[in-house]
Amino acid sequence: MTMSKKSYIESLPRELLIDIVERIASYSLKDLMRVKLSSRVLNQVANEPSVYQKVTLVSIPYRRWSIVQQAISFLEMCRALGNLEALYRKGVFDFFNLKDPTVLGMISQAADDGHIGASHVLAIISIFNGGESMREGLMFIANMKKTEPLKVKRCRHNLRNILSGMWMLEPHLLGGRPICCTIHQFEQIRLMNGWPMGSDNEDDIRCDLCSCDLKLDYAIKFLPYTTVWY
Amino acid sequence: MSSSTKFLTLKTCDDKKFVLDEAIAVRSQTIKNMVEDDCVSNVIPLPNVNSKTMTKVIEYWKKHSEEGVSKDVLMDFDKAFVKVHHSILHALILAANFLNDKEILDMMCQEVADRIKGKTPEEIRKEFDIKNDFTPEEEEEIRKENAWAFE
Repeated sequence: MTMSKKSYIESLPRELLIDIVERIASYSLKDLMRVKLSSRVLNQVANEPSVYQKVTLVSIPYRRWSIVQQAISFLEMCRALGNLEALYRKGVFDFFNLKDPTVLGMISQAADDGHIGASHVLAIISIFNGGESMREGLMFIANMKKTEPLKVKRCRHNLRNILSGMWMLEPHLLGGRPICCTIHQFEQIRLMNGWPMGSDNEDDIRCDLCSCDLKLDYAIKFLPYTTVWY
Repeated sequence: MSSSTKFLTLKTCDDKKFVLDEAIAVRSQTIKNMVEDDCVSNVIPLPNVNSKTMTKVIEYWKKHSEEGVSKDVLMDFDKAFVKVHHSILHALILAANFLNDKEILDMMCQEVADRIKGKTPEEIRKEFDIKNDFTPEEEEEIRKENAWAFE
């Protein structure tokens, strides 16, 4: 027999305690951290995988350079355990920053499980892929704007924050311009400023996707709900 | 065959009996399963629930089974229902879990979560009579580990 007497709450069955702590985690990261500091039992429960999966990440800034290593490790842990927002952030960051198409799976996973921002960015990516997928992407965004205008606004805002977090600037990245060209534009700025580029040191950045611009211009004229920023 | 109301007798762990309309009692999935499987004799034993807790549960079931009660009235009822000492919250959670009543269970777990929200660790401990069982070193380590979340 142990001598430590557990409180009523702590003596609840584990799965119910986890349920309670998940509710707190999905509401506030700070509250979750305070739960961890309350007692050993609660600290253990707060470290359950499903809590990492459900925890809200809204209070963690998108800009990676502005957060400490511990926060990055926390985000990584969340992602590894299937936290949708963490999958989305990492996926978007790697896709646009590292141009790594294999991470699309990460974004798709988040989208499939109901992350609206992930569905939104997949639509945007498909717009820049051109062809039939461009049309599908445009229709998706147009439909979203019609049915859930506030969500589109929030998705766009979040996406802009992630993208702007890739460079030491805070530009109106997507304002009026397609994402892809803006990316290349900022690569040029990065070059001019001597921002480390790794081995890639081309002056002339060619962009296949830029060829979509005309099509996109043309397309948006016929889609009333896509004219605001695309 | 009689079409009149069927009653069930529930017996709590402290040997108190509650006679209840079957239509109300089957709000408990556990009891419903027993009724459907036809394994209900005269008395349904509830070995994990005491009479004090069962009284609360039945109070909830009856209110939520009444006809013509407005949503506002039910909301006020629920609000008052969860305003109990944490030892009773604990008992109600266990009872709802045993009886498999998702509605009460959800409401009670949410209440515990709501009571934790916005509180410091000290306030959480006080609210639920939790003993701080960390050594000062452990506590400091967790504090350091998570300090970034408060910046």
